[in-house]
Amino acid sequence: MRSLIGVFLAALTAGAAAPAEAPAAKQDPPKEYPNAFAELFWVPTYEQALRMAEATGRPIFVMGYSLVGDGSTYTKTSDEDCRGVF
Amino acid sequence: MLSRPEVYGRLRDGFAGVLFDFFQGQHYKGKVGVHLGTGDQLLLDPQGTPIPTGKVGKEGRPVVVYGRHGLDTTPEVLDGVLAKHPAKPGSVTLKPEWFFFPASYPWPNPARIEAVAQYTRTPIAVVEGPVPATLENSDFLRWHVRQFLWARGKADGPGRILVRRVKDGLKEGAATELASIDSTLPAARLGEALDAAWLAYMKERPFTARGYHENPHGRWMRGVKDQMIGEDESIRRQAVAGTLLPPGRKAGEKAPY
Repeated sequence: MRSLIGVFLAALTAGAAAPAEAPAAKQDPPKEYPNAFAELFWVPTYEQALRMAEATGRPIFVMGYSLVGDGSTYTKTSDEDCRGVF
Repeated sequence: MLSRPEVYGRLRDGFAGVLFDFFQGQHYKGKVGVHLGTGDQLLLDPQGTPIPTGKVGKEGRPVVVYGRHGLDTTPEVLDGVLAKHPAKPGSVTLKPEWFFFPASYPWPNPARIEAVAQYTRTPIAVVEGPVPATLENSDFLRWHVRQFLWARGKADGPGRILVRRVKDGLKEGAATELASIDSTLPAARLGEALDAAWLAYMKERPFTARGYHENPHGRWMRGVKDQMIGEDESIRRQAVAGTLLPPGRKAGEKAPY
């Protein structure tokens, strides 16, 4: 799920990011991210998060995403209407 | 680490994380006071109560949403929350049942584990037979739990862990079954088998989740598109080279079990 939160954090913080670097010269090696695959301790549900929080004392980080049961994602366009966007 | 390790590291080390899909968000809207859209975030105290941002909304109510449509989750914000809610001292015993996707949900149309795996690009580990004692070992669990989405399979029959992936994004003909592991193996061998299955997934993990860039609704992410692609490619290279570290591990660190 790192990719998910990474996407969100990256997008949310894009404005605060350093200025874009100039395009790399062709002979430059690709940039590596040696610690790029990190991850939270994600649990599937709010109730499970409460149990983990109770045991650990940790607060809870909740991320919203518009995924629904069939694997598509929805955008709410009005109180009564959600549209699949992917 | 994408974009801001000083933020992500605090979330990783200090918080329990939970993703609200659309209908889980609807179900708990009454408890947390708001329905989260994609990219919206909440910080909850350990009792599950939203921690206000300190801002007041147009209607005079405290704003609790962080993230895309709320207050940025800066290191200062997270440090403030962690100072008020420090982790309990000593090593915490992790429980496998915290991580198993439920067999049933108290709300309609839950996002299936396959849908979550597709969306988050994570392999699935299905534990069949009795939950092995090795998995109840908190050190073992801490070492491996973040590599997979976990589910219980049939409770009877031989103990094994089936590792699989969803088809979406895979090249034509690629198998979805990655491994069938005897869960009664000694911890060291079971751990090696899980690591191998995870690495096999990571070598062919689909690149950026579908639609993020191409979809009109993903326009807001295009400013960091190149970095996202660069990190995906870097992860792929490290996986192919066999040097990619599973979540939470440091180079050269030995398994604690």
